[in-house]
Amino acid sequence: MLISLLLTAVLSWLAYTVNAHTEERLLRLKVAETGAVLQAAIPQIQTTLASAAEFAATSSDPAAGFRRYVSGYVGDKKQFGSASLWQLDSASGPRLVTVVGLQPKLAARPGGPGSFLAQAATAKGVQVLDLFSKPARRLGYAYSAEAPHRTYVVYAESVLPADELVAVTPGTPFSDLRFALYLGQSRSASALIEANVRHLGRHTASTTVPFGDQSLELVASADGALGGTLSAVLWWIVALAGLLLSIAAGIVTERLLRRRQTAEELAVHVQSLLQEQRVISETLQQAMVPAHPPEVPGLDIGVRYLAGAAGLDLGGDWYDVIDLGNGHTFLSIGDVSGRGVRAGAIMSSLRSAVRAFVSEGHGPADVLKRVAGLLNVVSDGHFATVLLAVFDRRDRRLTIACAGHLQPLLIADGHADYLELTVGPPIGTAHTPANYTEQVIQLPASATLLLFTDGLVERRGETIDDGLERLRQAATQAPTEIEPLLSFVADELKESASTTDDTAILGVQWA
Amino acid sequence: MTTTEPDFEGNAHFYADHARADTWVVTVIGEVDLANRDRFEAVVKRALNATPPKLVFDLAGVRFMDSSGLGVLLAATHGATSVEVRAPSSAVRRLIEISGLAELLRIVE
Repeated sequence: MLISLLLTAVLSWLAYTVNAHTEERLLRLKVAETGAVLQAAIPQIQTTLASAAEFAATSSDPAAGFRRYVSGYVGDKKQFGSASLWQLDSASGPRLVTVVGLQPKLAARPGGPGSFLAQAATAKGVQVLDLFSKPARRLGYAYSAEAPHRTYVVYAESVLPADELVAVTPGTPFSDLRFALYLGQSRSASALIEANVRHLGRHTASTTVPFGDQSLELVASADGALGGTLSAVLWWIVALAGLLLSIAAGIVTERLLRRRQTAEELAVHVQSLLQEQRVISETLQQAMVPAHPPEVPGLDIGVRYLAGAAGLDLGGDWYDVIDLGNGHTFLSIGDVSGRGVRAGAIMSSLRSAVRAFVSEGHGPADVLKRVAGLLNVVSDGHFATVLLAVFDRRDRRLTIACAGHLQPLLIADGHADYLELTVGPPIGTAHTPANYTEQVIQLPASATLLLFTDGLVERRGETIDDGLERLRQAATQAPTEIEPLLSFVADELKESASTTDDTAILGVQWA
Repeated sequence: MTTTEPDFEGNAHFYADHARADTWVVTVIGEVDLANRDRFEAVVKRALNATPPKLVFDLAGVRFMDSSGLGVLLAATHGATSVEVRAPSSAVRRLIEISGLAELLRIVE
């Protein structure tokens, strides 16, 4: 905004300055041009006077010769108002021979015509005399004929406007100037020959023109704009347009700024809300799925909960470890379909229900059968896959039942293989009370059992078998100890993750 | 034959054809996940409004389906007299098998 205003100011100042410069230049040119015209007046006067003198001197009747020639130049609206022929006589002073037109004011001049005419007789060129006293303001010119006719002096007077003011004919050099013409260089009111205005403009130009034995001072200012109206108003146009543009730009900028500010405020607000929700989600998730499994003698247990890319909603994945005593450990892992608070709540209640039934002494298949009725995909919109197992550390027997869940991976002796399980329907999907098969599997002396949810292996553009194979490969290459093993597997498989699904991993290791 | 207004949005398309008097065919193309399971469910519910139909899911064009999509199929089994899954892609077929749902969601070629 400030910049554009500044730019406008500079531009309009430039336009103004250029115009002013142009006007000044034009004025100077105009004045010079007018000066040239004025300068041409003297030779013209001189020629007329010289010719008249010549006629007088060479004529048998000097007076008649003079009159005949000069009459064409004397009269109202003509070059001279008065023309007279004088004969110089050193004894008695100048003698008036004849007069054409008005009586010369020179004659009435205090001190008489003598000194001026005598001066004219000895000088070369036209002698100029100011006769500006009112009334009958005049300008006098004297010219003496060349030798051998120096005895004659031709004298003429121009009639000046009574109040110095003249009307200027359009189209003449003076027409678009305000001017004042002075005799000599004084510029005083008494030296003023004529002017077309009482007061000149602020910017003036002047020129000095030789005028006979004296000089003329032409002072002028422009009457209106010499460079045309557009040039004169251009800076106004630039200033106005610039101002309007600046205001428009300012308004737009201000709006954009305000809009951006609002957007930023909203973004910050949304960000804080998201952060808040994330904190709530994480807190709930951690409350429902403990980050640290219980210590069970003889077992190394590790867990991972990998939040999906969405990261905001509660996931429906869980794992759980319950030490039943006597070397028996209950393992559970499950996944409620979908995400969000509802999925989280269902997960939480399922997990709690499993715990409750387990604490009552029910086995995996029995527990699945009992929790199956707690969830209905039609009314709840969710179902769950659940894997339950009891591991007996003493004889390494695994009693396991599966409700639609992915089979666990057994890693032993550098090999990794999925357990072959009979899979029952997921919790919440069966039409009639489902029966779950309980299997007892003998596990090796030293091994790791990996339970996980589908987020670990599910990928777009491939079957789940591909993901399962990827996990199997990763597991065979993984370090042996449970924590590095889980980290390795998680890193390997999350790298290729394309789903936003959460992932729960539960690893149990014994040796 | 009536066809419900097809839902052609995002990376999955769902529409249901009233193929025969008692049979609706729900065709799914694309990837079904949490983001569009509601749209899938809406199309299925429109088909289920005809009482009580046989429901055939044409899943030949499904490249990916997660448990959310599976949930819609499973819920449909409770509203229809029978549910068949026709020509599922191997991804969907394996998902159904591995999740122990082969009995509920009968696969036909």
